[in-house]
Amino acid sequence: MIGLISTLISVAIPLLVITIGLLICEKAGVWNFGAEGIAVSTAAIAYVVSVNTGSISLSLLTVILFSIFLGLLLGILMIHLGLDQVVVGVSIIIFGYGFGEFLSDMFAPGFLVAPEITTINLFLFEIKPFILFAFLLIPLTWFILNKTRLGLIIQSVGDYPVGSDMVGIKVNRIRIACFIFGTILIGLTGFYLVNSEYLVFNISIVGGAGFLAIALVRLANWREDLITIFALVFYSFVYISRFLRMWISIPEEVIYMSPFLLTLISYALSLKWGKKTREPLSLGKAYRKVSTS
Amino acid sequence: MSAKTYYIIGVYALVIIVALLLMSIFLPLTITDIFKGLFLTPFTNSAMRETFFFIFAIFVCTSLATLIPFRSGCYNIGGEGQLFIGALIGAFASGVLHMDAIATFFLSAVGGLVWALISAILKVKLKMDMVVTTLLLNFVTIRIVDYFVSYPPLGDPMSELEISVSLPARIPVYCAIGISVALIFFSYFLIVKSRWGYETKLQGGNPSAAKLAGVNSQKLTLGNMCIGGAIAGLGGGILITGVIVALNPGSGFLLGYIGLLGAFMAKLEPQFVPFSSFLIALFWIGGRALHVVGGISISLSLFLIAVLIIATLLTEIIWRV
Repeated sequence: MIGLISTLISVAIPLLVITIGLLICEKAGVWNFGAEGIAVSTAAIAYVVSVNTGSISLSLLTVILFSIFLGLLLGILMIHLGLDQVVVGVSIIIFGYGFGEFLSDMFAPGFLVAPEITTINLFLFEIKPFILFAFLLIPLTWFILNKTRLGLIIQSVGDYPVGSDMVGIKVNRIRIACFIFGTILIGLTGFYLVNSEYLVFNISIVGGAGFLAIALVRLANWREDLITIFALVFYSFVYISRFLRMWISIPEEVIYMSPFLLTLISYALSLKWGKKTREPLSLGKAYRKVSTS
Repeated sequence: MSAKTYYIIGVYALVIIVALLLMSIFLPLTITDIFKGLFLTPFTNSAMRETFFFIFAIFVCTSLATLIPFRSGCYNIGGEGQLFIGALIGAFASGVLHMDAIATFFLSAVGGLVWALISAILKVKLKMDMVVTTLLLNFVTIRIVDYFVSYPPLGDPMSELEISVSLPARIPVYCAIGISVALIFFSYFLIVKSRWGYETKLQGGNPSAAKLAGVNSQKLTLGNMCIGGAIAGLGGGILITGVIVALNPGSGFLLGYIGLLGAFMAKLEPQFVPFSSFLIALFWIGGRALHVVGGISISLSLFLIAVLIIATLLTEIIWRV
């Protein structure tokens, strides 16, 4: 049972971290639909760097730097220049697949195994550092967003950018900073998948978690606690179904489809019978400073 | 010529230059080889030329499938799923029911239409975010296709791979080009010249004004999504009757998503779609040609598309400034 839970957690963690990355972006009023592409491209970078150098630290550093670069570029395009956030997001999905496959084919061809991050011993349990990081990230995100001045600023630029600007908050700078931070979290997921989970790379390594995360943020009504629960529950379906296959015949395709279908149905039901939405009021709307002179 | 036309010509020229420069830096080939592989081989090699025009026709379909709903403010990111459903239904019609190409195309279009209608109904009835529903449905579709090509009657029991039985319905390449040209004219008249198109533009540009003017937004959402879905489904029909002889889940990978790029590069104007689709198809097939000519990884096609995206986004900065 412990083995099952630990497997479930290690598989659900990428989804959880990507969802938190998206939540931070969306709380500041910015869509990040390209999460899948960002995670695929950083996974490719982590794979190429770690396979060629054998250094996990260098792989981590490269992933963080690339995520900052990507976050800054996309942030300028979407937030500063006001490009359509959905178009940029989908473009990054295609970019991620193309860039990832080409990079791994060119610089790490063949079946090479990436070095693995060593686990740490915590209260008699062997635990992967990224899982620990993810579980610390949840309360930390909740605390920052709900109990600190910074959280208030982030939520205010996501809800009322005009009002925030009037009280002296640099709306677009806060949005870009949040977007970069969210992109780093998503990028770290790619690093985790390569250097801790699968140790190899292919373009389906993220397995749609970037798409599922977009729906989970909405299903959880932009709440950190519900995001955690949903991420674990939806992926547990995959494992429960696999367990049930010992007695009843369930096609594998149905099992892999289940998190997506379940999320879609739950999202529809939550809109039909759910409570008031907590969606940031200016989500997806670029802010242009209005001249007061 | 309008500023938009100049801009589009500038974007395409810049994209080609950037792609050539990047490839000459990173690939172990001379710029002449790259030029030949990318721009000449797709037309001098007869098999590649045929595939090029089929792929061009598919990109026209997926671009229009994104463009038409986009004009009314609906983000149809489900071109991938609608294309695959169209291909699946068409594969059933052709491979299992042994229907001819016309019936196969008709059913492919119906499949794409129904799949797009699901997202449209969820949007209209529950105000569900269409980006989310179409993205999730894309993944559901891929698994559905995986399932059907793994088991009889559509799955090939003799093959260990996930691949369908051989599909007999075929179309010649000029039919695919004809379909794409007809779709461009249809879309142009629908979007630019008709009352429907005017209302669509009004709703996409200013929903409040459209409401005040008495525009039925639900009808437009449902209608444009159905048209977009049917066109993507037709793209699936072209895929299984022209490009491949048996359906497998990897065969149309990303063609639907890239349609969004085609629509974006055409600045959401149907008359520019043939040019954007031509360029994308050129990079798609040119990457494969370089694989054959220079032994470069086949993933170069996807990388070229990635370069195309970044160059397009960067030129958008110039447009804005």
